[in-house]
Amino acid sequence: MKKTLSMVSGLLLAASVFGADGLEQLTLSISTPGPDTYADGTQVLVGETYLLVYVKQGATFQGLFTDGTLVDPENNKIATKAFAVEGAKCGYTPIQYPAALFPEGGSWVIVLLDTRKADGMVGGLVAGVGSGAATGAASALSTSLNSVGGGAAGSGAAPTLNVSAPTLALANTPQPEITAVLPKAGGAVDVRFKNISDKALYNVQSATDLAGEWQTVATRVQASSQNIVQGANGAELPAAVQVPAADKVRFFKVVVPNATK
Amino acid sequence: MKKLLMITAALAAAGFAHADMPSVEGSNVVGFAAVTAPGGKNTIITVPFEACMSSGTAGMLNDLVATSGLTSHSSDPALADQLVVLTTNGAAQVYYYYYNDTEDGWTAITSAMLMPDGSSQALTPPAATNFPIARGLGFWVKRVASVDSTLYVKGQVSEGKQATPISAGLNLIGYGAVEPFSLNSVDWTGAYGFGGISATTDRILVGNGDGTYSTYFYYVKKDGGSSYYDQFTNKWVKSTSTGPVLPSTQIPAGQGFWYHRRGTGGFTFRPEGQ
Repeated sequence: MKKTLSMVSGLLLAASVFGADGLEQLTLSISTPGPDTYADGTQVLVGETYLLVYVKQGATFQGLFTDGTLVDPENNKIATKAFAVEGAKCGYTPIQYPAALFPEGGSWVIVLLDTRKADGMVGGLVAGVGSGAATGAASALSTSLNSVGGGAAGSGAAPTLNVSAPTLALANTPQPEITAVLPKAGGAVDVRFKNISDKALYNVQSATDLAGEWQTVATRVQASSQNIVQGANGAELPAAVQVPAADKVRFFKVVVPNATK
Repeated sequence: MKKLLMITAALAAAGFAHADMPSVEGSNVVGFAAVTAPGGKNTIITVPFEACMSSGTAGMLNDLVATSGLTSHSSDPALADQLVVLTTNGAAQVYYYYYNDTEDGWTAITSAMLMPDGSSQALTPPAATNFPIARGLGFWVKRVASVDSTLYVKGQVSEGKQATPISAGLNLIGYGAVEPFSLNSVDWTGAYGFGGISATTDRILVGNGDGTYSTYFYYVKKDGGSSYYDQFTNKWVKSTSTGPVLPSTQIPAGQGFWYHRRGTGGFTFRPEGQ
């Protein structure tokens, strides 16, 4: 018994020594060779957002909600952000972290976001994501200078990133309701709706026949302090759309896409 | 004619006198060492020199590591060669990143320092003109170009003895020698070995230039072991299927390595003795 206990203690001691005898801090750098693209094939804009996501062992990256939060926060963790630079690529960003924070066995994924607003500028809610190949997280005993996305120094171009999947709407997104429709000259129409969330992306759809096909006439409509207006029913979000000027009849509805959760 | 002989004799005397005059030696010796920096690889280097005109003083990074022959870029660190230094900021380990800026030479890169609570702090290293590199400190050169290049480390030849602290765990160090050396040709007082090669034996990892390492263990013969192993005791050895083998290669001047301290606590590496 005494001998067994002694052996176990010895093993525990060896394990603790081994676990503590590596590096306190680890480092890696993130970058992409570019050009990275949005789902429509256009190159990402300067200032667009990239995430470095740690994925726990045995898990995969499960995507984001429109507000940028993780679909699977139990197994995915956002370590840091980086931003696109000239060349439509992730700007070189070194990080360093306590070795125990992101343990070996997990992996790293660079995620490209599409945060373009209706006006085409970045910085809005997240409409889509694209992720690169997973790279194993280093151990405290790593003797390599690690990198993610750009590959090892000079190892050749890594694949470019493309936004390939939409984000999901949050589960508690309220059902929008149109409060006003105002036809203007030349086919321009102002639509306003209530029950809005500042974490949701709205599409406005239109049709000339209620039983016909609905077409999207406005995308990425999102509420901010700059564009919401106070109507009789509280905060309302306006959307300016364009339809054929010669239409005799036209219908509109507002949808929140990908509200699957 | 007599006058001419006198003048000739005087000149000869003056010549002899000139030959006997002592020369005035410069107060210091400077130099450089060429280190092979493989293309597309990360290499551990060390600087065997100190600051010029400041005997015993560590030189600054931008003075010690030449940028000539390396890849530079005017704005994008990803497209330039880099230096990455593992050092301490107070008591904590930190990494300082620098890239070879076309106009300014080694230029600091701000990195994100992630904290245990998940928050992040920006960490901007000191300017390379103001960051002393002690002789014996190891650090990385990260090459972006696909072709090999020569990296020059330079400075004043030190007249002092190197003293490099080694802590528990992994240490990036080097021997600040100005010529190739064998691991077993320097003083390793403080290195730890016990019972042949074991999980607590200190080890050294020397890069092979291709991303792999050769590992050497600090060998101490087991109690009661054969006298055959006396030749390896207190020496660095490679572990092979037939037993320990003394290293056959030398480490070039300017090349650093990992020291994995697995013995208790740390010690000061004094390769040239006390």
